Amino acid sequence: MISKQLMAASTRPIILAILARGEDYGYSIIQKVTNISGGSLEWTDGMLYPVLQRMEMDGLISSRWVASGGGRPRRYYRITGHGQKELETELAGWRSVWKALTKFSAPVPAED
Amino acid sequence: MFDLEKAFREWERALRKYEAFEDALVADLELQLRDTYGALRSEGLVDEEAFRQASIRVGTPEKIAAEYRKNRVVALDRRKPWRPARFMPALAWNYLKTAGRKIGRQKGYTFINVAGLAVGLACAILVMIYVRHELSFDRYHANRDRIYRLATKVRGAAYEGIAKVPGPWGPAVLKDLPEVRQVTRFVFFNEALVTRGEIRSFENGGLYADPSVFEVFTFPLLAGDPATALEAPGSIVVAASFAKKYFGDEDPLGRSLTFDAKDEFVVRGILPDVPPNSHFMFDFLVSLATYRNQNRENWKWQQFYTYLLLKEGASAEGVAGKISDVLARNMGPDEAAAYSPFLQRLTDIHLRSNLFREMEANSDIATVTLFAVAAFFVLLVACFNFMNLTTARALTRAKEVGVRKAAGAARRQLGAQFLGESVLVGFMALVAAILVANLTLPAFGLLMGRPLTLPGLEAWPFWLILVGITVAASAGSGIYPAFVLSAFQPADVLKGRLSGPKRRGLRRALVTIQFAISVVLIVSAGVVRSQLQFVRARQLGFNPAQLVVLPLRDEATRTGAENLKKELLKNPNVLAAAASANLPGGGDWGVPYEPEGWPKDKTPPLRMLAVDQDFVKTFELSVASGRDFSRDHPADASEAFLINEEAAQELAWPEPLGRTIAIPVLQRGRAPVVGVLKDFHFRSLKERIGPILLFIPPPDWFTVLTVKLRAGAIPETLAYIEREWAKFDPVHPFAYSFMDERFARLYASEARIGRLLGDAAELAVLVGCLGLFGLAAFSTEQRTKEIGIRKVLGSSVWSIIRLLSGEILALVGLANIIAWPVAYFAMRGWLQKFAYRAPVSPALFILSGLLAATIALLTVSWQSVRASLANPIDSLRDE
Repeated sequence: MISKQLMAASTRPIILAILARGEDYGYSIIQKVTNISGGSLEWTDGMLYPVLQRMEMDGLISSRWVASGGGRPRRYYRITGHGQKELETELAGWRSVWKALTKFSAPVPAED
Repeated sequence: MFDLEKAFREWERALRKYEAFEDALVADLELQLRDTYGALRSEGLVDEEAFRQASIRVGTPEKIAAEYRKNRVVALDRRKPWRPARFMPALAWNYLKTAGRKIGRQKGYTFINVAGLAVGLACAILVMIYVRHELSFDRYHANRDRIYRLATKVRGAAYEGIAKVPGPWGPAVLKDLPEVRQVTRFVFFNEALVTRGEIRSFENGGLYADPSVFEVFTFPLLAGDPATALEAPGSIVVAASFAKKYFGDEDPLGRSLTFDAKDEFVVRGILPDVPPNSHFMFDFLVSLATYRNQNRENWKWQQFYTYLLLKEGASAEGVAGKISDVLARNMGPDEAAAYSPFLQRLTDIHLRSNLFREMEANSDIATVTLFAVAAFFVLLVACFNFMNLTTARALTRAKEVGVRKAAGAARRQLGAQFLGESVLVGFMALVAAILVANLTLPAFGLLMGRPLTLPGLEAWPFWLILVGITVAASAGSGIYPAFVLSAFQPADVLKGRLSGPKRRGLRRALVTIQFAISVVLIVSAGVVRSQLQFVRARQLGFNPAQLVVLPLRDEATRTGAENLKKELLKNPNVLAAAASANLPGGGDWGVPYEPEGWPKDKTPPLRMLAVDQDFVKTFELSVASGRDFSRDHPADASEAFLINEEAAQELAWPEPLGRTIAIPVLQRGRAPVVGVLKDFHFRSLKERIGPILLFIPPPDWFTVLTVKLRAGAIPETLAYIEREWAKFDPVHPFAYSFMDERFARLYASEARIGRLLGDAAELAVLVGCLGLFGLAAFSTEQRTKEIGIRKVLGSSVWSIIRLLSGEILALVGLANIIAWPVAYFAMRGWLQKFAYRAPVSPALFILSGLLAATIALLTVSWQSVRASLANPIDSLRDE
């Protein structure tokens, strides 16, 4: 299981990363996250929408309503330029965190 | 069965409770739920379980809302960011403008709303003025909370309690009980001819009073010294208008007035006229030291209205408990045991005291409450109107709501706006109501027998309450429409997707209640009327028709009544005449008496009439056994009694003739019963016929002469009597009254209740119909197209009228079913106060119901007939 804090911190970069691959809608985002993480990253569905809203307010993503084939319109999100930049910054941050973390948690060499 | 769509709708409704959710978010989330549900279904979960799981995954509305809230920056004033500012001055003007336009554009509906509410409020104002007046009685006395009237119950007396006590009681209580600061007593001053120079007039508004009256009561003197004004015998204190009448602009102080051509009373003080909200009033006070009566100091002669002023902090219960001891010490325990004295708070007397021999007829709290309830009902009907019309017309404002919501208005703001409009209409109605109340107040005051006036601004609590009622009534009736209006979903209304009014159930319920109230009032008024008719038509056991009552106003006329009778009987149109000391219709006396074979303290209550030998004949009473009083038996004049059948029954005398009775208090020695009279109503029909006794008093006790006239010759006979009267009593002006009218007056308060209930019923029906008219107009307008299509397809005028009016009939029918039992039980309660009651006929209920139905039908049929006659082309061509 992933800690609450980590979950909170990772939500936005993950959404940005998913949207960087193309336009998508809420339900599908959740499905993707669940599938890719093999179930270890399980988002409460309802929690996603407030985050999406927040990100839209911050200008990281934008949305539009698309009429789907048979029925109700769906809201699709896409990443903005600002969001791209944010994703890059985040990725850089996460990478250095990851680097530091793996380095420190590797078995300590006898002499270093 | 699990209803999926319903489950979704409920879930969505739960979300909407949170202000954080906008339409778009709700749509998003719903889709999310549907997708999740779909996925779970394809995994093989059944309907209900899939929905349950899905909704758990999506999260509870509360949690989601909390998450959304995090997205918002909290402003400095802690206002939630999605809330609009509390006050937007720019909008205030817009609200007013909108309200003004609405009122201007829908003059008809506004008129119905305002008029209905105005009638309701006018009723409320009138009744408030009346209630305020009734509650204000005797409150102007500074010591009001410490003043008590001393009254007593008397063993063996026919009354519950009597308002007068013997003269020595008051001073004894003052002397013996330290908690009593002061005592003051009043005795009625008999009618007297007052003269000063050329001015002569009969005055009967006087009282004898103790000098302490000004210490106990707040009657501030305009001139004179309150401490000594009523000290000396022959002193008089006069009210301002009385002084004006006799002294004009002169200063009355120290000048004298002549009473009955023999007594000279010197004016020692002047006081302002006694306020009308007093349980007793007077034109002048004569010092009690002037009062000459052999029984003044009698411990058992009850003639003094006695008021105690208690010391600060003294308990009335404590004092009341000790009075019996005071009596026992002074009269001896045996004599005192016959009395149970008690105290009445001054401010309770007017509304809560109904003792024997009250100084003036009091009102009672039940009547006051009844009027308040009737007014409340009329107001309620008016409020329902308001609710109905506003809700029905809510649809016409749907677009406005949509635009306002789209522009960012919150539900709460819209609610406040619509509520504000209701209150605005309420105040328009209030202004109209005040005008109406002011116009009708004199008539209303006349009906109530009270000098009612609209209070000025100094009575601010009155106006505050009135404004409170207006706000409560208008906001109370506006709250539901405001709720309905503000609930419209902007997306729906702006797309024009809102269909016809859905909330017809409530409207039907309100109309039903309105008519139920009307029917209850109509039935009640009808029951009161039928009871009054019954009372008037009832055989009283004597014949009050063509009986003229002439007061004998002084010693000379009283003793000379026999001569006058002889003169009058010379006229063939005068059939009979009798002198008496009191009369049927409440004048009967009740004093302790001693019937043969009964211990002193066990005698049943018995009433008494003091009459002459011609009384039974004149009143056409029937003798059941024995004989009438007769001049052939000279002993009858002091040693004979007549009793009624009831008395024989009460005294358990199967053979009453020859049994003896003594009345020591009236100096009547033991004497036999010579005759038994058939029972007759000597009191109103509110009371069961009780036992009564008749005896012949000394001639100077007589106070009235009752003359039986031949029917059909009344005016000329009265003229004849007047001529004879002038020879007989040149001093007093001729005055007379009719016995049947005197009897009718016993039901004055019931007649007033009947009148008022009738008025209230009329108003309730009127207001209800105003509303109904508005509703009918609206619903017909709504259905114009439908009617057009029906007609095109061959519907007849009749079937359309039936369609439009049928519902109203059903509602009125239902209203009757509700109203009948309510009215029945309410009126059964009211009838309890009559010992003899008219049967409550079912026809009355049915007629009232039919009346309500007819009025309702007439109200709506105008609209339905007009709609059904309209040419369908007019309503359909623009489609």
